[in-house]
Amino acid sequence: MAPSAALFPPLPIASEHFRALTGSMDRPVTPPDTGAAGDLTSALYRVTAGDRDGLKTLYRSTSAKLFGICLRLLGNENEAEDVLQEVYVTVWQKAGQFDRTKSSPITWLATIARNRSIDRLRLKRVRTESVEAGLHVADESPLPFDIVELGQQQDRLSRCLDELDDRQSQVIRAAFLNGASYPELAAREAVPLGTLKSWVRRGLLHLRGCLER
Amino acid sequence: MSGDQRLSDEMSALAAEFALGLAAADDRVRALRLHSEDPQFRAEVAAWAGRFTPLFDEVAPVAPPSGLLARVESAIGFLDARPDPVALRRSRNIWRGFSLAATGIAAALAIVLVNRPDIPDAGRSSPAPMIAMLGADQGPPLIVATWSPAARKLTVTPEPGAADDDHHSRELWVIPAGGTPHSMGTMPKRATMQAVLDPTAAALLAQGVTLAVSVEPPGGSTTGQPTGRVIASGKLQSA
Repeated sequence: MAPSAALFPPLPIASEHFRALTGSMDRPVTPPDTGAAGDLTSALYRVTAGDRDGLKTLYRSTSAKLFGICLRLLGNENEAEDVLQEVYVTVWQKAGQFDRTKSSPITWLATIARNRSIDRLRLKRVRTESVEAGLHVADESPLPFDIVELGQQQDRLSRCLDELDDRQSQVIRAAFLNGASYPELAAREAVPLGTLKSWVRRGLLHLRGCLER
Repeated sequence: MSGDQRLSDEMSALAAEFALGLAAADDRVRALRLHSEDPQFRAEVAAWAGRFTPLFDEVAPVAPPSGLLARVESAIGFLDARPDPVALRRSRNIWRGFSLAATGIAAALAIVLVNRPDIPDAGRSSPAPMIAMLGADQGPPLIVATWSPAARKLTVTPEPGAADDDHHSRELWVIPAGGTPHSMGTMPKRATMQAVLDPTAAALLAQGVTLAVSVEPPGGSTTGQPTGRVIASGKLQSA
């Protein structure tokens, strides 16, 4: 059984911006725009209007979180910097597409950062997969953390992930947090690709059922 | 299960795989098609992305290097933003999107040119095959381009389903580092496009150039430069 501790330090990381993360995309909630989420939403609106100070505000409040995401996925600072730059240029151009009835500002930004990083990661793997058949998933040393109040949504997801069998929940988390691909996960778990895929699919459907209860 | 508006388990699992970036090969092609054609599938992908977002809380914030905001501002086209030369040299994505004010782009590119005397391989094609995955801002690659310098063969595979309509064409551009976009012609509607390029066009396709696809009037831009929005872009890299 692959040890999970090293791959997924189970440390709830404080992020004041993430406290705002109470609305989920599948259940649109428009939180009152107060506190961090409200500041970020107004910064995003200012960016839409081409306000450079709005961009600065947005950058100062979110870049550490987004850089953390890029770094976690890419495992390389130079690449994470390049992707982070792309993310903010994208945000400058596409801030008008942010819809606060569908997600919180930080979720929207984090999703762009994740998608951009995954694109980069897959491209890198196309280049290297012939030489690195097994491929490792970057280990991360634990980082400083604070205890944060976990919102309802966090609780629900972690409860539902706990309902899965350990390996299912580990591979699903690795896919999201580390950007692991199916072949990498199969190699890590030492199971055939088909077996892994069916675990993951069963796990995902169970997760959906649990989250909808 | 099954109500009218509920996707089958199989489709929901595919949507989840797509949202996670797990779908590969045929599955990804299928998911891309569904994502562009089927609003219900698109909503399921968004729902899946939303279900996982609490996991972002497990990622520790890490402060980016201090010069990065200046790099971002410079890439956007703010003239007085002066990234330090080292940061700028490392920048790989100065050019993004045609939708910026043209003067801003020109200015940003001018800065880049002045500060980037040492772009590796710029303007030189290498014999190794290369690949570019062209993506939109939020999502997986939409178009894959492969380039074989030895055969001077460019192959472009568009996303299925997003065919041109009668009013627009999609045009492929190559943008050398710090240079002007050159048209590579309009994109095929569905099929893979393969072309053997003449040596002049081939010389443009060096490591690190940007390939981009913009929406243009039928038959392509009439100005010789992109006029519509960019729907996908990516860098050419060694395969």
